[in-house]
Amino acid sequence: MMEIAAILALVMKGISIIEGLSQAGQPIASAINAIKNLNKPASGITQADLDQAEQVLDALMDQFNLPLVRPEGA
Amino acid sequence: MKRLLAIILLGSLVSGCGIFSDGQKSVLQGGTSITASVENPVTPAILYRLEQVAITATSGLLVYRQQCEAGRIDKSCFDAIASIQRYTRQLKPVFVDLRRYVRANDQINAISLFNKARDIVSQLSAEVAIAPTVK
Repeated sequence: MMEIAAILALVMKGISIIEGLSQAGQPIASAINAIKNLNKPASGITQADLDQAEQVLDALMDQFNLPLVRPEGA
Repeated sequence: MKRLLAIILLGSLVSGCGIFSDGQKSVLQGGTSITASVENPVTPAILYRLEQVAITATSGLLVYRQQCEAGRIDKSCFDAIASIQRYTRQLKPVFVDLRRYVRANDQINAISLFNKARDIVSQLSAEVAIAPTVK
């Protein structure tokens, strides 16, 4: 009985991780890509790379800077 | 989940404090490039790397905001995000102007804005450090 409860707790934890990952999917992908790009040699950075970085950063900043909608009591 | 978020948030800071592939330390760590100067100008490559660091950090902040809004962090996270936003809202126009000056190779203004961005990020990091963590 104890084992079943432990397994269920693990399953629930797994579900919560998947929920969190799917919600955080886009920012995580952007972060991973940006970390990879840090290793790009200076000579390989093109205008298109600069334009893309600008676009991604502005979109992320705009999203983070949106006004907060606070729940009651927060 | 707690570990995942810790990795994301720490990853943002680590990449912000990381060392570039060519051995230069980032603007956020205090390496040779911490202060842009005439001898250490803001080239398009430096701008690109600064933007990649900012993308990583902002991604981490966005995940934090999502987790906060989902109720997975203590409610005081709303105050923490509001404090952080005071700095991230200052950063956006700094980046817009910095790109313009780097494109025009106006190093006097580019250096000044680069160092301003560094100062804002430094203050922002202090706010992030005291933000509540995931339940």
